[in-house]
Amino acid sequence: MPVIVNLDVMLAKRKMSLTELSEKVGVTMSNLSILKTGKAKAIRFSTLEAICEVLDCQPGDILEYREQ
Amino acid sequence: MKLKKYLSISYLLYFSFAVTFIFLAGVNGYLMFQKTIGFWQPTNVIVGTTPVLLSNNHDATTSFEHEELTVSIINSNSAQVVVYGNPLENSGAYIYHSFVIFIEKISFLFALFWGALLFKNLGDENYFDSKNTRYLFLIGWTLFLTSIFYEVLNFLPQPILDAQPFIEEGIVIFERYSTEYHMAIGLMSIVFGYVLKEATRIHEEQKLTV
Repeated sequence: MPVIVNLDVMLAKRKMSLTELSEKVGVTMSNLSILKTGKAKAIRFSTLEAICEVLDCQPGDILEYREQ
Repeated sequence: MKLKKYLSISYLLYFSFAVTFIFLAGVNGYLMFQKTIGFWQPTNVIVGTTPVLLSNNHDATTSFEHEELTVSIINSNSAQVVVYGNPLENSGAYIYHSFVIFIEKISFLFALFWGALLFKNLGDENYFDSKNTRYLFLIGWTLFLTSIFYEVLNFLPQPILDAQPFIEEGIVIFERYSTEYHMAIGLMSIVFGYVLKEATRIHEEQKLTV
């Protein structure tokens, strides 16, 4: 997919683990893993909003469009 | 809770299909064996649905009188009758019609088998499994193609048993292969297959939505 999820980059920048993010956002670990590994087909606005709030970033910091 | 699962309609259908499959496989296997043995050991063998040309008392294209009843027979009529005889005397017609019947039986058996697998999957609550779509397509295309095969055969000249010793009793005239149910069930299965395919795609997408 040409849309890349940079969740691992943001987590590294904020020095936060996936487990910690999962607890703070209220999304299961398995769903966050799907998102992190790029297997996700779609992301809800509510999930994106919660991640951005916890990581203190913009949606563009997490999602990136890259031409194949 | 497990008992409840096995009492579901899906499991009931699964067991029904599985039992019918095993029963019909056994019966048809025995009949095919009997036909094969009958062919190589020419004795009095039930030939079954093979069309037979009538002569003497019963003319297939005209009428005849029986007591006070006048019976008119036309070529497109069909009748159930038991025919006995030596298959070697009419081997062409015997093999042809045995093969045609075999195609119908085997396609129905396969449809039963895939139906049983489909209902087992549904009973196990795997509703949106891609295997279910495959089973529906397999059932649909098998039955539909079988019905097309039979409809084409109905337009073609078919070999007919013409040996008089074959006729034991009753009226024997041309047999028309009827597969309207095959076609209807086949087409419905294909349509439901496409619907389930789309539903499975949406379900997969929903599962991968975070």
